Amino acid sequence: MPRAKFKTLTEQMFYVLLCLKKECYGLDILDRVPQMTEGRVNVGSGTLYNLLEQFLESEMIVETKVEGRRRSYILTDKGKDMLRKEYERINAQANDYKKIFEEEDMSNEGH
Amino acid sequence: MKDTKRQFFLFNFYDRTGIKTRLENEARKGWLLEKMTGFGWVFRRIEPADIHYTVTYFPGASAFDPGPSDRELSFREFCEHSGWKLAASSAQMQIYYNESPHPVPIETDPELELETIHRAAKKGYLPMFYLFGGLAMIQLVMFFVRLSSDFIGVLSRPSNLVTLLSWLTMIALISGEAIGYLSWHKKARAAAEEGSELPPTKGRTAYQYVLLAILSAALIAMFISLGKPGFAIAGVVTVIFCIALAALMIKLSNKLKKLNFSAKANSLITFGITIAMTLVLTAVICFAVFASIPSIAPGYDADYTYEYQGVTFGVHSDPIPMRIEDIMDTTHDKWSTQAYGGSTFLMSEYEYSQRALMDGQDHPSLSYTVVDIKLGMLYNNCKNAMLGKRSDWGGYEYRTCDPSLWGAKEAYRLWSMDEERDTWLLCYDSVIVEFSPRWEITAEQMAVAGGIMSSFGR
Repeated sequence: MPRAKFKTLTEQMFYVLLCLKKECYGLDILDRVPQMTEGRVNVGSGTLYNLLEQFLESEMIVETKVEGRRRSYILTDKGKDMLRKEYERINAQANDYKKIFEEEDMSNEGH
Repeated sequence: MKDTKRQFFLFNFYDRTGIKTRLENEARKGWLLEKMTGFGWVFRRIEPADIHYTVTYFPGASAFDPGPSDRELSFREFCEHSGWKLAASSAQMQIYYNESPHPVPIETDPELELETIHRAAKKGYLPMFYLFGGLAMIQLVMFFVRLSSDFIGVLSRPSNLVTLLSWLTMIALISGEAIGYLSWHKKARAAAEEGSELPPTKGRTAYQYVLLAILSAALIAMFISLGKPGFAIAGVVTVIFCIALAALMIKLSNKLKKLNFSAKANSLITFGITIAMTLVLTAVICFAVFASIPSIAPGYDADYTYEYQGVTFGVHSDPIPMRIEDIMDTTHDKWSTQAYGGSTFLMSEYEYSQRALMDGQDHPSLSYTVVDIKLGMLYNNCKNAMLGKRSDWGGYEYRTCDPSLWGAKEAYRLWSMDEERDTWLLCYDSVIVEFSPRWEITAEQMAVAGGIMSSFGR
């Protein structure tokens, strides 16, 4: 089944939006994401370009400054909401993981 | 030593893997892609290196853009920031290279990557395929309509078969390209939905080369079979004209881009001029064809002409396989003989005539059409087509008659208004002859003519 658009976020979408909590040039995101994730996540330049266009279109970000071709963006409330939902989803997943493995550990200790 | 080289090769627009591999091999040999033009791909000499290439598509670009748009330039800047430099672009296809050993790919999200590729395909290549595919299908339908009304005439002329082959080749090329892309797209979509990398593409250039080789061979065979040098020259001129037209279209479009015409104006002017030039070519070909048909131009290709009662007549001396003198005794020696027709691997159809010059009108004349069916399974179709042709005239019909008089397997005589006409349709082993002597033929002469006709095609 194809993933519904922005119902959930991919890792790359998540970090791109995270970078835009503060106003940021599009190009700078290419460097910020690997810095933020210690090189674990990289966003391709084409992918970033297309993501920014789609985020703009769905009003998750807005343009704040245009200097020639350099554009900066920032998260909108909709974008923040999306990020928060994704954070909660990831947290819920992490909690479920913990519950299962902690129960297992506790029962192992009981024996 | 030359510092640039130009390569002509076929490629599938969607074959990102094939193009990338080819370009990386060229870089290892010391050649970097510099330009993609309608006259080949241009490479610049460099130190041999392991360079990474990637083929991307920018849906917003057009082949007629006077220059890159701001959005396109912005996309390039994003790529340059990651070390990807634009090597060359053509319409939506953009080819980047990166000299770092382990660059971050331009596309890192398979779903988004596929969406972009498909948007570019839907904007650029697929509509072109559907347009040309539709055009080829219309031509194919028109061919079959013509075939139903002139079965023998169509299948006995090499030009018709080459035309059919050309359109079939076009359909095969377009279908190959479209099916290749769509089947890759289906696999790619499944991969992208699973979050996996898009699968490599598989080019079908061998298929394209084979189809083009078949078409070229058919064209050459057609020119050779045309026989008359004038026709062959006309054919060669047509092919050269088509190539020149394509070159002109590319040059014109490039010139308009330099003059900063908008993509819309450029495409309108380029296509407008191309369509106008194609119409001119079609008109020239039609004129040449009509002028070459003897019944329309009596003096065409004649050995000499003469005047009779103020009218010009042409005298021909084409060789014909059966003459009046073979059937009956005559002392007359002023004849004009004409042969007209064509031959393919399926069948041949030749119309022959022998007429006395106008000052000898009292002499008999003869006309006959010989259809030699080389593919046995088409025999009945040909017979039915020849029988049906006369009934199409209205009031005419063929009725069976005694074939033994002609030494034939089957014989039919033409009737009109309940009167017999001096035209027979005679069926032999692989040959059918429509025979029209313009004199009252005797049974003895029928036997003589039948003996000659039964040997046709052997």
